[in-house]
Amino acid sequence: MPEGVALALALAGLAVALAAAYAWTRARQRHAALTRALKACDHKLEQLQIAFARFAPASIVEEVIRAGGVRPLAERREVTVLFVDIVGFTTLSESMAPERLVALLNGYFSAVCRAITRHHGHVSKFIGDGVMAVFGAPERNPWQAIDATRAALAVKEELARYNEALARDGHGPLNIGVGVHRGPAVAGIVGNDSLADYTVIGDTVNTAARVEGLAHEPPYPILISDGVARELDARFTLRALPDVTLRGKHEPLRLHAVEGYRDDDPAAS
Amino acid sequence: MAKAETSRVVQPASDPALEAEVKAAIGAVPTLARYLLPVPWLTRLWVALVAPPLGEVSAELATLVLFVVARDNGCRYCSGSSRTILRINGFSERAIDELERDVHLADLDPGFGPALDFTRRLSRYHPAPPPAELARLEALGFSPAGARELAFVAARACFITRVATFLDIPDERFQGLERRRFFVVLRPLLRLLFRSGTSTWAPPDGAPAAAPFAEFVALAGLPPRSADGLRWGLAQTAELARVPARTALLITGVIAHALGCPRVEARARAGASDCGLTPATFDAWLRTLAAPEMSPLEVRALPLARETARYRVEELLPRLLEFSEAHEDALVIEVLGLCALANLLCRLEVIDDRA
Repeated sequence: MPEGVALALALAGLAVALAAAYAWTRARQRHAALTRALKACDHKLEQLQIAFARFAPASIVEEVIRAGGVRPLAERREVTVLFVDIVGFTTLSESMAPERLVALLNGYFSAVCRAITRHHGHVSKFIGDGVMAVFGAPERNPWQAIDATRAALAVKEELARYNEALARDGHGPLNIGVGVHRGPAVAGIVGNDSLADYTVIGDTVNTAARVEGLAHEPPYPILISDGVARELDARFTLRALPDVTLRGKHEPLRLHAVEGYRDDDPAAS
Repeated sequence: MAKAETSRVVQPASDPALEAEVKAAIGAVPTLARYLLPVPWLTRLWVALVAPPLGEVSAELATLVLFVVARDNGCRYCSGSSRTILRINGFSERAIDELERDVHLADLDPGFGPALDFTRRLSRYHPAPPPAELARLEALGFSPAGARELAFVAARACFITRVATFLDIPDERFQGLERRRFFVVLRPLLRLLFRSGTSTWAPPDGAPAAAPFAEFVALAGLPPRSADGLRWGLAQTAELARVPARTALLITGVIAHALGCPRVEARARAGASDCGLTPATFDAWLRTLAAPEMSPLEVRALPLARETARYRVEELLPRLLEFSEAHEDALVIEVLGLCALANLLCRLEVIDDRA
């Protein structure tokens, strides 16, 4: 083979090798960039999932992700609904600086949510100064009435501690009313692609809100309906109240004031 | 050393004779087994669950099931050890990461994705997967016995992850091998060492004709070796030493009640009736988890049992530590082992649904 041809072939080979090396390096860089982007997306998705979990139970978030968006996801369930509200909040809000009011509310919400989640409740939503919590959805809970009533008592205890902290700051105590009612409801994701949340809807929710409207301190900060009271045992101290006809209802409802709870756990005493 | 000082629910123990039994069955004494030793029946039940060779489900799929269920239950011990075993068996780090992200997107054998999804749903029990799910697995190529064995493998993973999580078992020594230098070079050797699916273990004294809750094993239609092992394991509960039978049945009833498993609950009610607890009292106690006539152990153990049906590790662990502070290790292990066993039995009820 003439020397010139061999040189040309060698140069061509070298050029091909260089081109291949360049292409391989570029492909590796691109692969690395894509891997980085994928990891970043992953991290972002994980953060979103964590953020979402503050608004809906993790299992529901997973369903939404799987479905690729908010789809009708509802079922009829027996639930116990608890409402908490600050008594006289409107007057309070008018007399306080906005920043101080928000700080006060945040502390109150933390105390209430801690008590509810400790007793297997799902905090469904904040409505102004009110909190709505659900027991028995999204997960089945055969002890929902007991849990909700204990949560109501725990809310009161948490608030007492919060009030002590408020007193140290020279603030007057917050008084609350808690109402608990049990019955059938539709549980699911309600809303559209822009705004949706996991909640329960139905007459049980409305009745629980009305029961809460009657609760105030003193003398009865915690009121439960008869359906809830029937599920409780002798550890709870209840006081039966005269029947009431709630606004928008025809049938009278029997209510009970919850006055205490005795823990039988030897370690608890 | 005080439990509070070590932040451990229980301490590891030593029992040379029982350790020899474990070693003969599975070839080693893992860290988990060392924590079970104070309760021989539970140690043997664990052996009976993990030692028998699987008939239809591959060892690879069984490890994947354990990994997925462990991730879901937040079991650091099981997810760490199954990750290492997967790596030894040729899975890339990336494949395992993908599996962690989404079982459907992971690059696995066709059929593995739906199988893992099924096992995760069975583990979560929120709600229980309907019987049609087993038929769907059959449509994907699993034999009827294979689909049932897969459900058993998932139920077994629920048991193992619960025991490991509740007792807060520290990492196995081999965990993290995949991050060591020379791992790739040593992998073929490690693969030989960790080779699974070759066990020839069988119940030492044969599968017993009768055992508590054995009817659920029969109805589940499991392959013979898994069924014999489980029946033998259940028979070991006759050696319950510290927890009275009535309390054990109440624990089982509570977990069945929490998950909505009527047949396991009915069986527990019938068993408790044989112990002198009337069905009406059993139901009343399950409804409230408290009664003045309950023993102090029942007063503490039943609310704890309830928590083990569905749990978040970070919320459960302080309660477990509190429980362990008040009782000796062997009693704590026995109660928590019973909780794990009841969770397994409830998940078998799903397979039974198809019978």
